[in-house]
Amino acid sequence: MRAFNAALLFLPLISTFVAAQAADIPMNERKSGSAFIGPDTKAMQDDDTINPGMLAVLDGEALWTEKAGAAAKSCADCHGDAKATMRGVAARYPAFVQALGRPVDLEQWINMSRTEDQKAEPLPFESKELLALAAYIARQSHGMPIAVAADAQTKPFIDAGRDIFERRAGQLNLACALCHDDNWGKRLAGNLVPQAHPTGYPIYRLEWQELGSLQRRLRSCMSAMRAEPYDFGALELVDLELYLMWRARGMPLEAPAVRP
Amino acid sequence: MIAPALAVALLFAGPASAQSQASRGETLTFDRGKGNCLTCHAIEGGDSPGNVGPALADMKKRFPDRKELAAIIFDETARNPLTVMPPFGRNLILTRQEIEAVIDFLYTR
Repeated sequence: MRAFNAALLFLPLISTFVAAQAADIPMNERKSGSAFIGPDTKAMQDDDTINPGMLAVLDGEALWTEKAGAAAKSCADCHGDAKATMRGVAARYPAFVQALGRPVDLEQWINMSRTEDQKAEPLPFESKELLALAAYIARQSHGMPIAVAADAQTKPFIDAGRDIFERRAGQLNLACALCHDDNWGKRLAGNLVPQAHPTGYPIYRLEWQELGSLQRRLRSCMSAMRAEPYDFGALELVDLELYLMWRARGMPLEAPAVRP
Repeated sequence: MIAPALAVALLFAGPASAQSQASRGETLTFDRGKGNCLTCHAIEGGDSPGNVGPALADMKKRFPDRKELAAIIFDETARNPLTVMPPFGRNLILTRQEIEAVIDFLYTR
């Protein structure tokens, strides 16, 4: 009884700072977003001839061998056949970059290679070209288990991503975890709430009528929470991407996925 | 705390204005940018509801104390810090008068 009263005393104190107290989804209960989409959308995703994201994969394949920048080098000039050299790569991103002392996501890594190796201008976030290259590279890991590094170097960034995931923000006072850990499988405005495992990025989203990155998806979720979204490329977005990929560790990559 | 809003509501407690208050409340309740109640709650007469929160039915019977319902809408985190329900009053999504109108409508459900 005394402990109960003491707990009551502290309730108002912690209420302002309280994060979602969600328990993590047990490993064997994790589901891909593909488990929450309708049969038509699933059929579209699973058939390469009608998955609209596959057009971007083809664009990416063409870009792979296109020379760019002052170095007049293509991706293939250094990396060879992507089907061999890029196999499993996307499953490990975001990855830690020693020179920067922090992780970068796949799109940022493509742009690092463009500026440093090709001596070319970086491709703008969400540009058709950047998404096409990301989709092509991600496709080479199709079906492979997500395997981002979880070690002494990446741990602080994974933890920072988890903090953001569990922290309430915005006018609606929501945290990612309140919906995606606590209420997955229920409906919000008629739509099933998925578990937020980013297994299929870049995704073709029917609402967008185009391909988009995980950063774009996270930003639109933040807008829906009526929070100020982080800018594209913000360190916080990469932390969040890394945490989400770690949270989805072992789950097969299925890019480019199709989502409503 | 909610006494002024309550007083305003009582001032307009005649049958005709209660009805128009309820119809204003219906608009606020279903508006995706205001009450946005349907995103989480099923309410008779509303399209594409969610089920993260309980269905809003039999409201007068379940919440005979109008103040209790107003407090939940204003800021349910005060009572339950872990709630997913947005604090509509505290975070300036709905004014106290708007919350009263929403309650007038919910009492018809």
